[in-house]
Amino acid sequence: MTQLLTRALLVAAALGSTLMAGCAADSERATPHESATARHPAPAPAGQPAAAGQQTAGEEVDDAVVTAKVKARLVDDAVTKAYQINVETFKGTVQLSGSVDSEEARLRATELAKNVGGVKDVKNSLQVRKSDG
Amino acid sequence: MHLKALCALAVAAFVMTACNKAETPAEVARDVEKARAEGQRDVADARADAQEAAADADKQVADAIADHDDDDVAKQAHDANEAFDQGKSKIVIAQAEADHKVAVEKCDALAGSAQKDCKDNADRALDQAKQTAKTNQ
Repeated sequence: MTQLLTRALLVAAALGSTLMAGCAADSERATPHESATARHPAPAPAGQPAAAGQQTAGEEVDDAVVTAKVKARLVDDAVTKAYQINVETFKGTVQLSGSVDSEEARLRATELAKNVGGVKDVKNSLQVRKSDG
Repeated sequence: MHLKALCALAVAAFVMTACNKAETPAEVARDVEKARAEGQRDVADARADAQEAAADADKQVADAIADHDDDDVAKQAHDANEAFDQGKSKIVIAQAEADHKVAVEKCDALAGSAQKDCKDNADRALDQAKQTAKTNQ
């Protein structure tokens, strides 16, 4: 009877240690993988766009070129050349700001900017100044 | 003398009739398809040329920006806009010419004066499209 009890205890101990070792191995396998992923996020594959709100170097150059071309269009135009219109570009979207003294000039600025190569969208924040007279 | 004049008139009338003879539907369909394919190729070529010219011009602007030469940036940007406009205009004209080719081939389904009127209309449409493209440039 005592022998039987001892055997049962030994079997139970062996089973328990096997189970414990398995759990430990599982947790060792999972932890490094998870922490490595958390500490060193994999870089985006080449050719993929940068995260939202960020620009790649190429996009920055493209946006600078678009800004220069929009400014040139505004300066070359008889209606808009008289105004100091601020132009900013982010990922092909042009933002116009500043002030003009007619609705015609405001709309013309949008039209001109839309017809520039590389422009995807135009946001017009130009204010129309009220005339003093 | 009268006989010669009559002969000449008869020959002229014969030639005119022969020139404006209607083609069979199968011939028209074949010629229209050929004209359509040619036109599409021409438009694609014009588009590729325009993109290349625009890319070259943009590179000049980028170089000027990198050199911090404001005057040159303004000049290159102006030139880039012109290159872009010219490219757009050439694409519009290529498209109008492609449409014209197809329209003219379709006119061959008609005979006599109807065919001539049809081709005149196609010519006028092409001239108008070219004029519009130049005006918009």
